[in-house]
Amino acid sequence: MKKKRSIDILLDKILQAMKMAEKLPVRISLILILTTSIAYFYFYGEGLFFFQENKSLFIFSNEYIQKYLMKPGGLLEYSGNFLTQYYYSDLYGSLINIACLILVFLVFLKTDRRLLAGSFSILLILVPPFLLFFIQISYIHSIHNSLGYILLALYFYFSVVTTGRRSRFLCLALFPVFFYLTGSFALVYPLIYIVYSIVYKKGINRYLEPVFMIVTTGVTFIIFKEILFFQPADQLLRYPLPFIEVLRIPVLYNILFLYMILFPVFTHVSGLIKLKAKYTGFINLTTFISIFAITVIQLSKNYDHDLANLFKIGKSVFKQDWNSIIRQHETSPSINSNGQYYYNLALSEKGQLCNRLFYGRQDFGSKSLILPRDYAHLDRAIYYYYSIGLISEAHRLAYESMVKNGYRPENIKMLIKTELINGNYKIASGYINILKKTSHYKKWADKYEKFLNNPELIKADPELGEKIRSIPDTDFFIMSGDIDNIDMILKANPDNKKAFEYKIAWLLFKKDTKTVLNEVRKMKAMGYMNIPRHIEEAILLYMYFNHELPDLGDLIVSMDTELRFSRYITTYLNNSENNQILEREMKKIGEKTFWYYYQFK
Amino acid sequence: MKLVKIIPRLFVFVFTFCFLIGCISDNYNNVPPLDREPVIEPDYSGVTIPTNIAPMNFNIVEDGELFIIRATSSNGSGLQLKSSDGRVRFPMRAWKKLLAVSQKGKIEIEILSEDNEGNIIKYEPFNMNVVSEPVDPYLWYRLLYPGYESWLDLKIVQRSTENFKEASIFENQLLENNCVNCHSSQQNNPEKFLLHVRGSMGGTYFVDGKEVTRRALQTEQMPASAVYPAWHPSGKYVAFSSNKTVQGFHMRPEKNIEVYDLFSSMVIYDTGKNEIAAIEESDTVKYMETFPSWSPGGDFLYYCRAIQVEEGFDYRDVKYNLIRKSFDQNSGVFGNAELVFNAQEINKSVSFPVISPDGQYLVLTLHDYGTFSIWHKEADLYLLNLKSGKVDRMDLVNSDETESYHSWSSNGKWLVFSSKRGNGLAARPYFAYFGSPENIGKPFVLPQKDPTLYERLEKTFNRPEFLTGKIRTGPRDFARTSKKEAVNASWAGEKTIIVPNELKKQTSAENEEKEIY
Repeated sequence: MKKKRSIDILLDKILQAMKMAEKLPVRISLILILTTSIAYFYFYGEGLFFFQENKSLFIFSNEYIQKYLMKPGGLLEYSGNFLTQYYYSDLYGSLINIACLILVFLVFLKTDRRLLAGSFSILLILVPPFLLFFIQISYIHSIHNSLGYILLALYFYFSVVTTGRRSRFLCLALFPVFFYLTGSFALVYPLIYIVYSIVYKKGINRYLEPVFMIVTTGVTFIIFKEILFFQPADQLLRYPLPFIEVLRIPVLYNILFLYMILFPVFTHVSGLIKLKAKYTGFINLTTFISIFAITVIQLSKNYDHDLANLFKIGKSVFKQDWNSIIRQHETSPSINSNGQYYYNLALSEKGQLCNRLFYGRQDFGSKSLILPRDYAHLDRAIYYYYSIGLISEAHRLAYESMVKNGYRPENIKMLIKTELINGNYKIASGYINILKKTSHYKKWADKYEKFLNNPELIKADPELGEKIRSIPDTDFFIMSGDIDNIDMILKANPDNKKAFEYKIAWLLFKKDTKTVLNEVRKMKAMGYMNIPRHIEEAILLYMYFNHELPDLGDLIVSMDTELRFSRYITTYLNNSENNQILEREMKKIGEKTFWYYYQFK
Repeated sequence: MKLVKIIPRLFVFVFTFCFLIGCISDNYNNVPPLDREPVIEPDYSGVTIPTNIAPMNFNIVEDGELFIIRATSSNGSGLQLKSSDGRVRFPMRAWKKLLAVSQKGKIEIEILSEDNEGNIIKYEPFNMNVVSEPVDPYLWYRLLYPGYESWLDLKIVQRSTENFKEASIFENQLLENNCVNCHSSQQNNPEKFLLHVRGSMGGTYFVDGKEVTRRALQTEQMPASAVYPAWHPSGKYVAFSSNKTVQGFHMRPEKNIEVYDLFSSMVIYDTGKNEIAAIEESDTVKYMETFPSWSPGGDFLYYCRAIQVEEGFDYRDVKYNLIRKSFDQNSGVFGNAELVFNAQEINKSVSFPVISPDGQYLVLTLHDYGTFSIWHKEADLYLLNLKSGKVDRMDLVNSDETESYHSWSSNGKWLVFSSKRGNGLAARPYFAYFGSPENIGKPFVLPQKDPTLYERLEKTFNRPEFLTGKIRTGPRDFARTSKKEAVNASWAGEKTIIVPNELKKQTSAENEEKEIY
């Protein structure tokens, strides 16, 4: 008889250890879930938590919970909002998401064991948490959706473990309560139960219970729609799931639903397949390796570095950490128009817009200076108007955001600031009281509460005081044309440097050097002692093409800029024969200049 | 512990507690009162209230660990409450009893506070005057954010004035989040009313008893849709203004929004024939006409009128006067326009003329310019004596903030009006007793079960109107009707409504502009 090779013996031992229904595969599964999710959420999830925390504001008040009690699924969203309010801590956010994955795993494990555990159990049990993992790393996901899946799985588990006909029917009869708690998630349950009944039940119960389920679901839906609640049918069918258009739900959500519906079939088939222990062990090992590999590959492929970058910048905007934004975009530039918009905003806030505009990547021209005032850009566009002193417009957009999106930390903070600046203390007080009923923003609210009814303190505040001074002296209606608004504010407040530099930046993006020059003569009176760098560059370029000596209003172009321009022109003339070399050489010498932008963008 | 031991101990405890409270109460009687009334919100001190109003709950804005509130009627009967947080909520039954015995008299409210060191303050009592004339049992209004362009969660609500029950009549979430506005009932009748819906389920929804119909009133001859409604007392007609309205957002903090018309004209709709026609104007001068309102007998149509604006106009120069035309109900013919009140002469503008049920008085809103008074802080209510033509500011009713939309109760003894005196942004419904021009009661805000509600409620109460009964139509009735095609009205007039040429260009340019939301 041949002696077994030692490697075969080792393999046998490993595979024996991996066999189904023993603790080791379960432990390894848990470790797999934990390591993957910790690695992702803690090290890469910062932007995700920031984005989700800022999507809503959780208020500890009766009025807040009332809104959610009035619709099926509302309590689920309420619970999710409660959990999300602490997402300012990445550790906490990671733990919550990981806990959801573990819970899903455990519920499916218990259910599988209860049904007909088979050779493929580990595979079957690992699929839901990993599907949920990929759902959770999406920015449109909210944690209440994870709770919905967990509750759905739990409800199914309880209906499986309930013995006795009466208890089972009672369990099914609780469906209306479940529907009220979880909303549209509940509507998947009847499908799961029908499949389960057909596959696992015998005798009359195989058909009686599904019929009872269908009737209960139908009656519940009708009662909810026609009597108890004012939600229309499509809302009852989809809330609180995220949706892209009416009734269209992201694909992964549907895949997980479908998986849950067919889970009884999968477990049944798995249970019928009787394999030797070592083959079961082999399947388990393959499962672990495959799932881990697929996860890593998918994460690497789909990780949106730029989006993560954008959220990092967004976080800095909320903290008003302008230097950080400038640094980040100049070293690791965002290719997103919103990211470039934030960079320009940061430059403006630091009084560097016309000095450093082209230091950072600019792909969108004037579209990254001022965002459209439409629903998609609402929450971001606010900051530009606040920056240049159109406080009433910033207020209006923040208010519209509040109406459309509900309370969010940033829209309420902006409402507080703008109401204080505009002297509406009673209204500001109302918003401050909202923030005081939150866990994370109470301190911020307390800080701003001291400004109430204290106009002198507001004027003395570096930020609020500056904004008061930049409010237009004469009134006008906001216009649809962005540059028209800048012209109006400059007409009312000629000394508004921020508005002025936005105008210049806009003209630079349009490559309108002539109009830039017309504006330069006003600069001395505005308090400029020096001409900002990119304006100097525009002046020299204009002079080069037009051979004119412009009126700079007693300001002069610096020697340094003249020297740089001289080098730029020389390089251009030396390389103008070859376009490929030209761009490369000009980039080396002048990428961060208006000249390069003018020539190549 | 055995029950036999607990019960006596409990009895002793309760007895001692009551005894002590009695002692405390007796102690309060010996405290000299302060020389001021307590600060309460809402301000219900000195108000005049009807005999059927819901409990006038309020919040005491004073320091104290415990408050004792005594409400006593003129005949000595009363009730006593305690509050640890300052919120005063009168029990419904006790309140109703108190009101019943206080008719044509007063309810005196005395408040005492005690701090955690046992110091007692007794405030000067204040009164609520109770008149015998009841207010209509229901109020309806639109609840929405006092915002700019976006809307969400719009509803029309009816609220009992006799208790705190509230119910939705219309919920826009059932109609694809369409906008709803300009609800209007025929002489406070809950069974006959209309409202406009704008959007995918748009139309004017008429309710007549149990029947709800959806009609499209704008015909080809009308450049703008039917907007502000006024039911003829007979219910046979509805006068509308047809307005092309735009809004501008101010950049100075003193003002929020300006809403103004580019053009507007009057039309009359026959509800039975489903026909709509222009109310002709024989004057060669072009006008903008808006805010129709009928006299109680239906023989006069009152409205506001301003000179038609031209291109490049300054919105601050637009001043509306009050006009009326006679109306022959049999022939359906209107007389010539008569000037009733020349607001332009005093550099003001008129909106929302509404005549009292007895036909003697007209309440209007007066403001510096324009048509949309809710965004004018200086807007106030004025009373016009239709016999003498005298116009007086209703001083007791007005405040430093906006007073705007108003309507009469069916008995002509109560006015409800929108006021922003709370925070300058969200309007609340205030009731004012109208005994005569010399006998107008201090107004009070609609009482709420939780007296602190107005501090937290961001929504505004829009177009509050009285109803003589409960509306039975509900949100699902409108939802069902919205699924049916709108019945188009036909044009019965001889001429098309002409839009001034300059404004045709302006309005089409606005239509081409990208919609913001």
